[in-house]
Amino acid sequence: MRARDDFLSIASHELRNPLNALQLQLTGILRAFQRSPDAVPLEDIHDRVAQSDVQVGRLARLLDNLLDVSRISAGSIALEREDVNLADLVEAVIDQFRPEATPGQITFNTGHPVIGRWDRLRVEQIVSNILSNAIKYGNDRPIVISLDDDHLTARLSVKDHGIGIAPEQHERLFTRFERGVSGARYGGFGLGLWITRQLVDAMGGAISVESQPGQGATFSIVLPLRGAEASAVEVLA
Amino acid sequence: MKPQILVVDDDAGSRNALVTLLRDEGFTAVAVPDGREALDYLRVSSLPQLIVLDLMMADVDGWDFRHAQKRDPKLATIPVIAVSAAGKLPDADAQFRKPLDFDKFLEAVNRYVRPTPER
Repeated sequence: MRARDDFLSIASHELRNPLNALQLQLTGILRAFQRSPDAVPLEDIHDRVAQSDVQVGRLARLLDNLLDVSRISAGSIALEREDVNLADLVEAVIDQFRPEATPGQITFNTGHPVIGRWDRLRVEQIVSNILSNAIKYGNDRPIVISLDDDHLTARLSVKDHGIGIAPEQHERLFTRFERGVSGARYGGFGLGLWITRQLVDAMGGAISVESQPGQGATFSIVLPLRGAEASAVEVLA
Repeated sequence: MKPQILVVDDDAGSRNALVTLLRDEGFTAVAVPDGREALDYLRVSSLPQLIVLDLMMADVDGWDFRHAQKRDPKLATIPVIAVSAAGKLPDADAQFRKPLDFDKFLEAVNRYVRPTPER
């Protein structure tokens, strides 16, 4: 229950920050028009709308994670498999996160397309959750993403050089409402990695972490290129 | 130009948006992402007339910062407006909850600092 109470407090904090940033951007646009309705620089408006879009994306991810808790608990998340090029998907997710990262912080190493039968949206969610953590806990230091495959599996790793995680915390990271650090000091619901593991498991894959305090963390995900193909739509049990 | 307002907030989206808004209103504002950097900044730079302080931050949070600020005679008298998504700073000069009511916030800012005349 304590963890759940902490979760509600953290949820309020987490939603208020992007909401605040969004509101300030919109206030900026409104006040600019009030000051000089005929002379608002278009570039300023563009920048503020772009920043607002980033905040809406943050809010959407937080809300998705909240909704997924009940969906996963009820076993009602459907997987819709299709051919997905994981290299392209990772590139697209990185592009979404560039405004939140420092310039040049993220490097992606892949030499070829990696194509498998996956649920595109859920794989995007997996990569987003891992990359979002790497930025949050990465202390603005380089993040290296690597992707490779053999005939059976794709292997994705995300390595940051941030605060790191003590080995005794590693398993707790993937538990609902748990986190490796204090909720008061670092934002987050404590749900992202739990949801990520549920989704990876559902696709027949595995997720693991290697880390030491102060030495960053590497999250590795292995996904079978072709999962169970009994039906186009599966439901998490 | 000498900064009038120091914004301390670990949420980059909120921090950047607030600094831009304050500059649009004619203030000179600078920003740092946590309490430790705020203390480092204050020890080597010219002192601001006002500090806008988030509370829940990594490393040195808002409460720790305020404690350190009040122990340093050079910094202790700088007024602090707390702006946070959660929690309260009992001895803040003013207190606001995120998302910020900017009109009311601006009224509070104007009690401690005036926009630079040339803007």
